[in-house]
Amino acid sequence: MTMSKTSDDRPQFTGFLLLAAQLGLLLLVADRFLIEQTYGFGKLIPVIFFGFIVHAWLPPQWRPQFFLLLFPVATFALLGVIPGIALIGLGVFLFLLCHLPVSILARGAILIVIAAVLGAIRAGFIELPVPEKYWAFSRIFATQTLPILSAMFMFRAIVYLYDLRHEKGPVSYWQRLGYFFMFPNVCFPLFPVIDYQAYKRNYYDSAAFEIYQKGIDWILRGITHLLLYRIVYHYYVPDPLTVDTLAEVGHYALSSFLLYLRVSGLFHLIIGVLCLFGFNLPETHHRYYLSESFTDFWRRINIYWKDFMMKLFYYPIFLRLRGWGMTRAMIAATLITFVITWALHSYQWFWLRGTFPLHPQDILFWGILAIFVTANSLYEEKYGRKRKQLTKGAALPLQDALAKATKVTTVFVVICLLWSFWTSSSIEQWLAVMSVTLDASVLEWLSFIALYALAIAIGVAVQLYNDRRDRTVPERRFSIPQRAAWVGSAAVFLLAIANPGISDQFNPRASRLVATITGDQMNTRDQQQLVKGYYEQMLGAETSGAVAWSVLPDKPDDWMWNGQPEAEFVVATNDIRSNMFRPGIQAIHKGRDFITNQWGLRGPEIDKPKPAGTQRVAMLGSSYTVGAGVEVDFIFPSLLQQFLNDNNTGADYDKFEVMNLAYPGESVLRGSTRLEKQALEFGVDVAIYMSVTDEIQFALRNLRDVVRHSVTDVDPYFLDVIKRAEVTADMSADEIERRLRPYGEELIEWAYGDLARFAREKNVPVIVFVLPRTGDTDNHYWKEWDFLSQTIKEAGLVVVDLDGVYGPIRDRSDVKLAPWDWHPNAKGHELLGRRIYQELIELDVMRVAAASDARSTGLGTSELQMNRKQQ
Amino acid sequence: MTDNVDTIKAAMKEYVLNEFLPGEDPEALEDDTALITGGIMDSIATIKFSLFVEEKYGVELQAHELSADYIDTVAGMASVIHSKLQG
Repeated sequence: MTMSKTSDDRPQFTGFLLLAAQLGLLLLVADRFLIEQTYGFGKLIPVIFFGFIVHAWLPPQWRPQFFLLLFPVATFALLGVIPGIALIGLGVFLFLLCHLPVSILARGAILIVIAAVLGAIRAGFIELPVPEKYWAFSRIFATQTLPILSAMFMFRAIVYLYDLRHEKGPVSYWQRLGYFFMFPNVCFPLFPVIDYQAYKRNYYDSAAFEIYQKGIDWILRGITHLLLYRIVYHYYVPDPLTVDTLAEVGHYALSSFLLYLRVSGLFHLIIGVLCLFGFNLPETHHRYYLSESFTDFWRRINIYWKDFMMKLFYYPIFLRLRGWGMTRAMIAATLITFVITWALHSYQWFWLRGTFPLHPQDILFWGILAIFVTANSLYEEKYGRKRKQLTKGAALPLQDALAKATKVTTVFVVICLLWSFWTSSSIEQWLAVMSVTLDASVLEWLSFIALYALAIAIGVAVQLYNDRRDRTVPERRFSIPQRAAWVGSAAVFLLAIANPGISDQFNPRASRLVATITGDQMNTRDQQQLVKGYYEQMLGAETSGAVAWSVLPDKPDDWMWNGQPEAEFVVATNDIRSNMFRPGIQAIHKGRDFITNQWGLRGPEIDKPKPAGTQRVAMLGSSYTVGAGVEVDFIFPSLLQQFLNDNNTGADYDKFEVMNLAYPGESVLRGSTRLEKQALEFGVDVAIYMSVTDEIQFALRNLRDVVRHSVTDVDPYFLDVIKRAEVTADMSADEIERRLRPYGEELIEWAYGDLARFAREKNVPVIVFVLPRTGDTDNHYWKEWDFLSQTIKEAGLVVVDLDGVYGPIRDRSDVKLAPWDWHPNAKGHELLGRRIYQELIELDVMRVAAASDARSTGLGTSELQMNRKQQ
Repeated sequence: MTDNVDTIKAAMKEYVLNEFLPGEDPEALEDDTALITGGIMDSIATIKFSLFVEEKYGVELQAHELSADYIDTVAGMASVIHSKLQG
């Protein structure tokens, strides 16, 4: 590594203040918006800021050592001392292996053996040979230390050994170590594959001020990408099951590709931080949404990866095969390179996630992309391609602009489709979505063509405008103060809108948008499915809430029912309920006791005949009400019973009993049946139905199960919907859900009407609480909430809104059961229990229930509604 | 007699202009103009270049030499070829 003369231009004070102010503002933005909080970026912020300040003022010869010193600082801050020491010790060990006094091949072989052992630990095949009392360390090592260690070495060790063979000039060991021990890596295991030669070549290769400012610019760009990603993620990703028109297919495909903004955002952020320490590295991505061809796309997206594959595989393979002739060698090298790309993506996945995926989608995605890139390469080899020119030539002809715009638009559309295929939950799901295009009307296709033409027209106009501007206006380079003004303004703007005092002045929709993007939450679809595409899963948003990537353990295999089949704990009912819990369960489920009484209910034993003086409340709902993972005494149905009894004056009743009839995945479709078959004979006085947002999805799945299990003992209405939707038991679950989707709202409306009829006929007041989930933040939630509350009211039932029960949207990690399970924990249940109790008191529900119990006054739901209106 | 560096540079310049920068003002291509890192030469251009060098000078470039560290500029290309010709 050489240091140019410019590395010694330590900044002047005012200029430095300008840099530090920009960086400080941007890091405040990152903190306020919880940027990559999942990985503990917040803990890295002081390391970056103070590290930059000290580093910039150090004499150049001390900077590599100081940069290296930041690695243990970051490691201890994020991981703690013991795992940090283990990480550094192993890292140094692996580094030393790279310098053993044997041939490069022998060193590579030794590293492979060591990697195999570490891989076996990562995969859980073997455990660290430590005494049992250090089991926790063993677990931390496998799930925290190894992913980061592997992120440091899995690709860089390959590049390093490759380059060592041809290394020229002296390089200090500080600088060599710095290549592996880059402190942002502790926070970001998905790290750009930085080339060793580029790392050395670009170190302070231009004025330090310029490099620092570039780093700040890129940090802003990275944050911008990450915020755009959040908007797309929360507001633009459709549920594949709702896709029903050609426009929605386009929406689905486009959103899947836009989600890649997270990767480009992260990589800009990482490289931006490295620029602050003199590493003047090139762009990791370059306008990848504007690729002219598939080869162009390959060159623009994740440029470091492309360079890595070219250097390590493509060129060596091509040169070895060049005797076959240019064309054949190029085809073979391209195809082999893509096979290796696929394998290395799975290899990367293995180190970061602990499993080696062999998904047909991955294979097909890389295979199709390989064919496109190969075909494009052959075309370019034969006909050449228009390259960047050094000087301004003649004016851009219209036909050239038109050709380019058409290519860019076409490649974009194809990549969107291909990306949606790669990131779909399954090939079946993708095919089901794409099958919508077969039923699209002529008008829809004409609209698509018009949109396509519009995109091309815009592309032409932009090119012609840029071309004209370039030849009439001298090229303008923004000065550092100008760039600083831009960065500062952007940061101040973001800080302002993130301030609740200001954002609350917006209209409610804008205020919700700000609340959503200032948090690190999952969107509705992912909360439902916890299934995402390659990068989404790799980045582990489904495991967010903990401190760092490395402390984000995967869901334990025995999380559900202690690893036993769920079927052992349920009884089929052959009606709309599908299942109920088996009576007398004594199991561990989600790490806690899960016990059911003789009636299959989660709660204490009760006698069927209601004791005199007892008021019984039946509570229906889904997994939130079941409360698995929380001890039974601390789930909100139990807490409600406790609060009712603790505050019971004894005037009307001796005691209250709350029966928990909830079942996971329950929707209102099952409400009246569950009450009739499991509650009425217990003399229930009042029923509470806990509706969860996204109930439509639950309803579709409830009816889907009826179809799949060919259940016939259901209301004729359900059979009618099944008939109208033309669904049959032999269809895939996704296909059934997709076909039922148009009936979702109708089903909900019918079912609440049915529940209201039941309440009237049986004279059991029913109150519906709409329960937000811990991660409800996005647009989908608000829309569904409006629909649900309106529907419930129109059905004649009392509806109570529990919005805000968990506190501010921004950070709800303390009410979630586990990083991988967003059901409420004991704290969440307590908040729910207290709020439900309070609402019942305000409704004066127990007085009404008392009247209902007397079966004489005709009071019930209607009176509750009056109480509600009076509030 | 082997070509000297300047002769090789001239040949490289001519090759780059013809193959990758047709119509470009020859004066605009300087000895230190960045070709790979500047976005003018991509992977296909690089492997074409390697075959050209092999054919014209009878020297085989190694895979690691097809990188910006070696052939990012006309001067770099000439230097690599010259050193190989020198043995």
